[in-house]
Amino acid sequence: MTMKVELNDVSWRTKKTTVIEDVTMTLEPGMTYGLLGRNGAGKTSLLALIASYMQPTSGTIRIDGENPFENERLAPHVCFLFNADYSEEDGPASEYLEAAARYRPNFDQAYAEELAALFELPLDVPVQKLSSGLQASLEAVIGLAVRAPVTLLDEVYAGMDAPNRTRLYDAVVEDQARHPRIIVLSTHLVSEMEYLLDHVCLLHEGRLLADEPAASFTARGVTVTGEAAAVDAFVLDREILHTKELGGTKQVLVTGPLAEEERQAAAEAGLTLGSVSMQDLFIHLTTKEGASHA
Amino acid sequence: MKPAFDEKKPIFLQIKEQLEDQIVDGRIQEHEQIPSTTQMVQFYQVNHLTIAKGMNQLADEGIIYKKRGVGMFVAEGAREVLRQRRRDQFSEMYIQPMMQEAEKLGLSSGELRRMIDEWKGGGTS
Amino acid sequence: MPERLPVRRMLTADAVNIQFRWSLWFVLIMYPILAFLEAELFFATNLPDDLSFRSFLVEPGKIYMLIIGIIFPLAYFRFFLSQGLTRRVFYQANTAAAAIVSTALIVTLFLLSWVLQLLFGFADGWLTAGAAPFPGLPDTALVQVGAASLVFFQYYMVGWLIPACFLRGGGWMGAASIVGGLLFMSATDSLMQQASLYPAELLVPAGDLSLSPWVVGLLQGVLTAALLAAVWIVLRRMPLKAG
Repeated sequence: MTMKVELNDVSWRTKKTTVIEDVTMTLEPGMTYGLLGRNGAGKTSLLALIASYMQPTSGTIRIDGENPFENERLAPHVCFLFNADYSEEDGPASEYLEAAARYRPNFDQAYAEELAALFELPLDVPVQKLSSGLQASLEAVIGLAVRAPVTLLDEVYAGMDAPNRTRLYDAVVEDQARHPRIIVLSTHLVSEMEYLLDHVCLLHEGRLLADEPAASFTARGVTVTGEAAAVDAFVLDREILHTKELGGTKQVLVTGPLAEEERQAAAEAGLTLGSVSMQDLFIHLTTKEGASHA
Repeated sequence: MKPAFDEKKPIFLQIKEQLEDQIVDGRIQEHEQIPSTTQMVQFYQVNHLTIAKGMNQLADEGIIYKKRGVGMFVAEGAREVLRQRRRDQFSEMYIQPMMQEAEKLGLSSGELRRMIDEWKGGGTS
Repeated sequence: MPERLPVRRMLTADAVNIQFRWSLWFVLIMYPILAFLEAELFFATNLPDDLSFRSFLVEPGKIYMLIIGIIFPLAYFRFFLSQGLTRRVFYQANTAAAAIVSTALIVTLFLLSWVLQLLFGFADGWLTAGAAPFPGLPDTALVQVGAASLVFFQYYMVGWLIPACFLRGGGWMGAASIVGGLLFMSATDSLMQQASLYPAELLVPAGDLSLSPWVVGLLQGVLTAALLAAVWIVLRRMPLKAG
């Protein structure tokens, strides 16, 4: 089963602030999305809206063509996981798997147990007694084993230790290949997850700054390195996202992509062009300096 | 560990070449299955679309072929095709830059030849 | 729709199961306390008149139901919704569960008391004529136990309403729900006791009501329907917190 998610001009306001503003985007089955944004950018709120945790103040959300809010047909197919507070939860992790087995139509118990073993997650210990990293692993186990057509993972990996994060990334790649669905991974730890992401949605202060394939997103940034005066001359008419200097050498991050003749001109001027990592681009697009240009 | 890639060359080409290397030196035999896209994504930590781009080129060139629902396999004669192609590229990829550098340094072709022989001798002893 | 029923039935079963386990503790704790009081009173010179099934089991039972009405939905609403259930399903299933738990609890208390009374003369007078929990209603076990289970259920729903109002509408709505809840409990108690009780007596003159059981039944129906509607209205658009 596959489902498409469509957001049209979605805004969500609280009494005091606008958390999500005019977000329009489409999520396609089989794609792994990176929802990037700094802390407070509205990532969790956006996912919570898709998961019907609340309703948009304005705009519409459609999943498989229908409004998902209080929709009994769609609800079992949307799975939203985030770093929840487990300090009061005295039940073991196995209870969470039992609940998922009971209520989630595509839940795979054997796979859940396999993942739990992989993450070294004990299923018989009260969840409140687990380390925060293992609590996060429990969420990851559920998030993958539920196999929901719309799977939203909000920073669950942030609390996991490095070995388990690597295991999770491998599991995401494998299971997405076996059971293609929409997987949205929200994160501000971009560098180690970059390769998982097919498509990037960059959220900044509640607005969607970018919504495009990962490859074209990273092509947005080109570094120009060389002698300071030559670099300055070359980037004169371009949007500058970031500048750094060492001695007489200057490196400027400009918005790309560059046309072939521009690349030749750069080469003739003795300048080196470089690509930029998703992480760097993310940082420069969402800091004050970059955001004003984007 | 994230495998290192050369910044100057597209990653899909580098992955494609690494697979070609394995076919040329016989680590993967003809009709043998090559690693799955998932395995390559996990190994190289590169997006599956990038992997697919490289593999699709290899498939278009007839080096590998797809079996539906099973995976991708090295085609019959692939090794010979790759070897021939590498021989053709050898002059362009290695001789040319070597000669250019030799020219910069003022090395004569006689000196060059001697250096190659020396290197060979040093390599075998 | 055919696939709708199982989810509701499963959730009702889960909600009943958890709340039964909690209620077992209530029952297990109440009887030793009663036994202790019995022993105390054995040595006491003058017995209080209101040592009755009502004051020692129905009244604490009501408060207990109010408390689990507050706690259970608070603890499990988001948990079950995050399993892919809707607010509507949770509301319907847990309302059914609350009715089942209410009935089961009062029936258990009644039967246990009855058995203890027969065997040991324990808590003598609780269930005898004239000491019925709801004196204005027919003094039969069926009516008395039925009325008590309705009151249990109402207290549970009041408990559910109050935190829901706080979460849905913030402090003022929450505060309003506490006032409304107190008035509601007072109203239902007044009807069942056939006497205007505080704070409802501020609105309705104090004194004996002496309404016919049919009028009581009708008014209770209206009150219960209003309460059920109120909980659903508050719940249907309740935002959930992520984090």
